[in-house]
Formats: sequence, C-alpha cells, structure tokens
Amino acid sequence: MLILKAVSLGPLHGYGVLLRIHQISGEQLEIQQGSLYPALYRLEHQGLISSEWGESDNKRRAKFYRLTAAGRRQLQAQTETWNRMASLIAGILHTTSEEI
Amino acid sequence: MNPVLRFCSWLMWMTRRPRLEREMETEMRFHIESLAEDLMRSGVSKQEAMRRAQLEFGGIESHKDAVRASLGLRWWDELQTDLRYAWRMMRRNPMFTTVAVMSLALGIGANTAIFSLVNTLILRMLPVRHPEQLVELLHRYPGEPHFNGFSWQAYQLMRNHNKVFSGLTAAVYQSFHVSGGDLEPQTVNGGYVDGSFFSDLGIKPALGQLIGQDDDRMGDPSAVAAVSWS
Repeated sequence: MLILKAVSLGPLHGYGVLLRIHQISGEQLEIQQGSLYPALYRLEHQGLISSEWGESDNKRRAKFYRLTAAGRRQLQAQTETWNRMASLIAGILHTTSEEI
Repeated sequence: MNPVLRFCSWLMWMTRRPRLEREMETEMRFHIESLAEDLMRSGVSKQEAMRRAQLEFGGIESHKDAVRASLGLRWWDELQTDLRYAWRMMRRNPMFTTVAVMSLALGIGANTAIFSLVNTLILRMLPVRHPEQLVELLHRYPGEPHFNGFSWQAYQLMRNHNKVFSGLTAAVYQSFHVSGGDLEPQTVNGGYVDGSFFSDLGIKPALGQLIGQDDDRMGDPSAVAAVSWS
C-alpha cells in the first residue's frame, strides 16, 4: 500500500520510492533497501504498476514505475479498508469503563 | 487480480529471462550507486559510501531470487536444477539407469499389449447380437496368402449346405458415387450385402427398414440401400 501511494504521487524509480516513503512518513519509516524490489516486481506482475526505462536526475538509465488504473482502484480500496479498520480499533482503545 | 494478465506477464518473463536478469542487475546497481552518492554528499568517502550502500541494500543475489519467486519463476528454475541433477546422477550410474529404463519399458510395453487385447476383445465389441460368435471365412490355395473372396456359386453352395454356423452371410466393400438434387456428387464408403446380412447380425434400423430377404433378387432393377451415420 505504501509503494502504491508513493508511486501515485508521480513516476519514481526504485530508489526514489524508498526516498519518497521516507519523506512522506516524516522520516519515520525506513524500508529495508533491497526487499523493495520483489514487492515492486510483484505489483507490476499483478498489473497495479507499470514500468518504463528512462533517464534519472543524474543522467543514468533507471526504471521508472507509475500507477496503473487498476493500481489506483486498488489503492483506493485499500485506503478505505485501512481507514475503517483504524477508526474501529481507535474506538475500541478509547473506550473507558464508564461507557460499558 | 486478472489471472490472464498475470499469466501473460509470467509468460513474458519466462521467455525473456536474459532481459529480466539484465534489468534486475541494472536496477539494483543503480539503486546502490544512488544511495552511495547520497552518502558521499553527506561527507563520506567514496569507498566508505559504496561499502555502506552495499551493506544497507543487502545481498543482491538473494533479492533477485525473491524477485524471481514473486514472478512465479522459481518453480521453473528448481525444476531445471532437479532435472540436471537427475541427469547427472543417471550418467554416473549407468547400470542402475539401464535396469530402471528397461523395467519401465517392459512394464509399459506389457501394459500396452494387454490393454490393446482387452480393448479389442472386451471393451470394443462389434455392435452386433453375438459378437463372440462372429467369424470370417477365408480360403487359401496352397502357397498363396489368405483370401476372403468367394464366387457367388461357392457362397450359395456353402450357405445351402451349412450345418456348422447359425447363419452365413456375404458382403463386398466398395465405394459409391452419390449424387442427387442440388447436392455436390461425393464418394462414400459402402458395400453390397446379401439378404441375410442384417438379420443374421441382429441389427435393428433406427428408422425405416433394413435390407432383407425380399430385396435379395437377381436382376431386380429397384436397388435398395441402408444408410449408416457412424
């Protein structure tokens, strides 16, 4: 879900995905560098993201990933599920003994 | 997810393995180098930056393996290694291999032979009343191969003096040219039979009537025919 979100903000290469997740999480979240790639290839295999080769900022060949229409739908569905779950659990955790 | 799409992607990577390996290598190298450059920008020496980047990235080969697994290519790789291993072991032990191959060959051969016998004798009986009683008469001149053609007189003689079989019937196989109406003329496989053919074999018509004794007259111009759809 994090990868889909990162890629939804604009096409990125693998290293860029990590930087973006690091950045949008307020530098709280770090993903183990290499394990990103199996996830990227799997998402592409499932048709949620697509890739093409392009030139990076430092003028080198890099593979850029972008979100597909199916990926956008998937991200939306997962976001909704996540929000429902989070508010449900938050509600449970906020319950005090007087409310029962 | 769409299984067809996924299969297409699998097939694409399956057939373009060298490209996949190349792309993974380029992509991961690019990642490590970018990471090292960022580290260098924060004041680390080039060598140290490369070392730290590689360490942080982890083993390239194990990540590549995980990518192959996520694309569903792993079982294929494993199958190949297994087959290669099997081949090597067989090469190393030719005696064992010979015995194994021979016993498999004999087993399969014997099974096939038994099955073809059972198939013709039990499973695929002719669709007639008593297929087990059906025999074909052949005659043979000394020094010549078997032959199943008899003259009409010889057949009549045998039929009239038959005390061995419950019935005797005759047939000649031939192709016929059929045409009629606006149909294209075509050649069909068929045969001439005598009047006792269908009744002796106990075949019932699906529609209409079959050729019987009444139709079996010499020199009768009104020819009759039975049509089969099998």
